[in-house]
Amino acid sequence: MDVEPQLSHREAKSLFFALADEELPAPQAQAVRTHLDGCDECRAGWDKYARTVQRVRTVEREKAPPAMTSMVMNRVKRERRFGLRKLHLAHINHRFPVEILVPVLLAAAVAAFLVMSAS
Amino acid sequence: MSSSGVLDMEQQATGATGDGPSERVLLARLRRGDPDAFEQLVLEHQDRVYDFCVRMLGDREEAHDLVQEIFVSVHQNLTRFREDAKLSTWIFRISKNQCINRLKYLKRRGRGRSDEYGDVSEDALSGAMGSPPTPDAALESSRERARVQWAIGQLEPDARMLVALRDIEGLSYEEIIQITELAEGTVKSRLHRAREKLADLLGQLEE
Repeated sequence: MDVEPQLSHREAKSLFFALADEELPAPQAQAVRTHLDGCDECRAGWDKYARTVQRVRTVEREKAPPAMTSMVMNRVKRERRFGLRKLHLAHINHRFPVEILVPVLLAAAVAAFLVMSAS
Repeated sequence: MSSSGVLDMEQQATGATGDGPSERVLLARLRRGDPDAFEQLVLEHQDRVYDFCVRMLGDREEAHDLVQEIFVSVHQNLTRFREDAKLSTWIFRISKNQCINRLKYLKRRGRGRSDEYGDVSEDALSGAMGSPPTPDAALESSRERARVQWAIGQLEPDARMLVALRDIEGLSYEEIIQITELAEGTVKSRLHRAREKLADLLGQLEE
């Protein structure tokens, strides 16, 4: 069996990522573990790193609210019925801030009123 | 980059295929305009998309709104899905773009609708996102969720996205590369740095 040379602290730390993902070939994983067994500082670093990955992986997932499906289906039907696709895309891509959108719409309404009353 | 921009782009062929016959059947029904098929798709994917949006935005109210927009976008663009990636990968790609756009919008506006995870004081954690009083295990689970989400929220959006896709959603690197359009080395080095930062942040909370 091949014996991996002893790893430096830096080399050992650089392999934490692959070790946490269980992507290291067995000889390399063994070399890291051997280093950790003899190095308290790297051991502490690995424990902290591995525990963090574990905490994130096991954290409770968020579940969509129960009404989500029906809300989506209603929105899809509404989009189809009123043909608001273009307006919707403009909204999601740009989401005009209300403080801009409202004055613009008001100005357009006043302008339309003035034009109509002048004619 | 807008979501439509990404949807317009060529879906790079990476050899990934769909989830098998059941996904192909579902896609065929979707393309025929079968509303039941779309409802099935929403039911199958809504929890993961919602969870991803909460991780990215750190705000359930925003996530609730955005998930609906994401599925509307999925519905509108189904004809452009070319099946060179899994349907879930494509949906995550749309979700990622929508989240980035929403984060930019929220940044312009100053902040989200609620700073749900902004404060991780003991009071906030004991309130654990407005949950009613619960048994100890459930309360601890809610606190842990708030702590982890707070730490994720401190990361830059790109790093947050990688943590969410890999460590929470459990996607393969191949899928993450398709979603993010980043090189494998970039994904791994950024994720490594994100994990180190998370370790420091969570360590600070425990001090």
